[in-house]
Amino acid sequence: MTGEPFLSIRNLTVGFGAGGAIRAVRDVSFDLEAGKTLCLVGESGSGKSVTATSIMGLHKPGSAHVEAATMRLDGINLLECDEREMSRLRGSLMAMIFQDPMSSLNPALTIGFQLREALLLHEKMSTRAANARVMEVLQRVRIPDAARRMSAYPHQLSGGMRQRIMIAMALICRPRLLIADEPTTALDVTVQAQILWLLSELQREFGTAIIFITHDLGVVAEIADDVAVMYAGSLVERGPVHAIFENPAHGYTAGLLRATAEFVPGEPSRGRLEEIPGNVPSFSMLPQGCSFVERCRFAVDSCHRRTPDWRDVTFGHASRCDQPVAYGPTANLTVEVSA
Amino acid sequence: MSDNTDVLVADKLVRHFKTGKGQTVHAVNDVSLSIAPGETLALVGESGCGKSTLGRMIMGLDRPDSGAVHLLGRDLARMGNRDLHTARRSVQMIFQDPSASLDPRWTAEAIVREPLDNFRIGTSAERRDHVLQLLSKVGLRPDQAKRYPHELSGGQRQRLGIARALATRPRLVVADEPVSALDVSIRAQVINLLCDLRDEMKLSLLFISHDIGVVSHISNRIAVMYLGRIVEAGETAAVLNAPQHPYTVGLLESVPRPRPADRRQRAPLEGDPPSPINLPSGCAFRTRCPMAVDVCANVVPPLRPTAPGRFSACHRADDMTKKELLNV
Ligand SMILES: Nc1ncnc2c1ncn2[C@@H]1O[C@H](COP(=O)(O)OP(=O)(O)OP(=O)(O)O)[C@@H](O)[C@H]1O
Ligand SMILES: Nc1ncnc2c1ncn2[C@@H]1O[C@H](COP(=O)(O)OP(=O)(O)OP(=O)(O)O)[C@@H](O)[C@H]1O
Ligand SMILES: [Mg+2]
Ligand SMILES: [Mg+2]
Repeated sequence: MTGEPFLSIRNLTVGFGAGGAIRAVRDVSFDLEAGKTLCLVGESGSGKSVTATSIMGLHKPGSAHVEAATMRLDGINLLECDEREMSRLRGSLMAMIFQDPMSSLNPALTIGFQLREALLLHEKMSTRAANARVMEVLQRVRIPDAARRMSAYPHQLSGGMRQRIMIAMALICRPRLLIADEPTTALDVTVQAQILWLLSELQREFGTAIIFITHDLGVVAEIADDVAVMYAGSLVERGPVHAIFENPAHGYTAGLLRATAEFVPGEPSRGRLEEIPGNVPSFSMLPQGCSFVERCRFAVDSCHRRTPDWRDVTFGHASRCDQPVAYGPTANLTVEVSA
Repeated sequence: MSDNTDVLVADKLVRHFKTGKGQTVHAVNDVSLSIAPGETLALVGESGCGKSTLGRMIMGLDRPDSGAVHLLGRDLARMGNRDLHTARRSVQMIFQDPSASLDPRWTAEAIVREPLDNFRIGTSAERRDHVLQLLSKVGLRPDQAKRYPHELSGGQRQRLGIARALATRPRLVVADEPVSALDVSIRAQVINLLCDLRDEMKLSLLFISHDIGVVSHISNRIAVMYLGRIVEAGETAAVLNAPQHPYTVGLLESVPRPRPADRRQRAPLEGDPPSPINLPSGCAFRTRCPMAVDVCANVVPPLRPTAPGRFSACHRADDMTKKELLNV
């Protein structure tokens, strides 16, 4: 890769309430290359959706204080874009899929109409050409009997089909960045498997960069190139998917992996599940030092005193933990602090 | 009643709902199952396949159109009000969403105490002790006993739900997706707690879930449902390691595994589950089944024994050992 990354976020901080005092996202930085999938994982309330909506510029005016050192997408400085420019970019250069498709589909309009409008908003073309594109994209997302479905209303479709319509809507203008916020959480596993497969197929074809938000480590293992782990508003670890799973370098990531009940064919079920003690702290009661310190079984004195800096574990794999060697057998620790 | 009588026997339960438009939702079709003392049976299957409806009928919260529920050897439908009241004491339920099932105006202590008052168990002082004991058992501190549900975290609320369900010392607990709404980092706490209390109190458990990982961990036996019917049942390890119904195979193949090294190469099952209003003729799974043959469209396959303790509702269950036929 030469030059700047396709998407680059540095020190993103988002606050709500008076003066942005409730800091839901703190100092989040990551890059994403075209054609790659970054999975953003973390507990409920850890700031995944707020990160996504901040990149998309989807906060209600005045509701959120968004600050960042860098927010660049495909050479465009998003920090300098006004609402009109952002709205032009949304749908064309970048698009988002939400967990609940009903919240973003208009129940009173047909599928075909909504898809056509989404397209005509960004591209000048005849209704006829637009209809042809709608048909094509519906077939792409494997809506059976697409011609007939164009005149269907959202409630006449199954959950899996509505989610496919959402994907069609997001993809119709061929965006280069797709943010998918828990798009399969409400779906059955067999339908989820289809949607995940569909997304990766479309990605290969169009070279779309995808930020996929989920709390399911199984899904992460299935689709991610890179993983960014969030805890209580901050990123705590990021790296290539294999590194994160085989060699986790943060107490939270390691705990999550160990606490996940998994069925492995041919292997007997493990005895007790390993627990992560305690609960996620609320923003108003974040502990001093590392935000995970109270639940971490590897915590030492210094963890209580200061927030750890980023440390490189291996190339491209970094963790915000002072004890990353504790979690994996092969952690190759360099004490160098990454920029 | 002898000690090894099944705690629960459900016999040929059927529940159909009529919709406003005069259509019929075939929620539960001819389901039979039993649970022995101390046993955990997992009920797995996709959204809308009838798991909760079955659970509600077992709890006596919904009446079957036909079929019978026997609790501790007695037919629920033939019990008078008094017996029913006693029976309710011995079956309790844990719900998916702890916030929705806990009265927001009551403290944790009052919530756990309510069933004790309701069933007049012990003296007032005994009830108080029992409540505090239960709360500590589920890991809630005495100072948290005075809190309201909204002042507790999601995991703490679910533990409170468990404490309430166990207050009357039930014989059977129906847990309907008890950890699905919880964060991954606290699921393990709640699962371990449920397992410990089950073993300690020799509880029988009907564990409703769509999470195969959790199910493989917690259950002795498993019943797989598809569109209102049990399509496969047997010992958990046996079913998961050598499934005898193509739906079970597809379900297991669809579960994302936290192992980036063995990614699957394509989606294992095509298509959506059909609507429970217009069920396909014959086997309800045939529209998505890679093994379907003519007979599958004509004859509803009965759940039949295939090996000791194993049951499958597939016409071709005997071919299932030939993996190449499955094409997955
Ligand atoms: N408009 C808002 N005003 C105030 N607080 C907000 C707003 N939007 C989000 N928050 C808070 O920001 C925090 C992060 O929320 P966010 O929705 O990003 O979490 P998440 O990681 O997406 O969680 P989930 O997995 O539950 O979707 C939460 O505590 C949330 O309550
Ligand atoms: N009171 C009702 N009236 C009409 N239809 C109902 C009623 N209760 C359930 N159903 C329907 O019966 C079917 C089975 O529902 P049920 O809630 O038992 O499924 P489930 O397996 O628990 O699904 P989930 O995993 O989504 O909880 C569904 O199609 C549902 O829409
Ligand atoms: Mg979210
Ligand atoms: Mg249910």
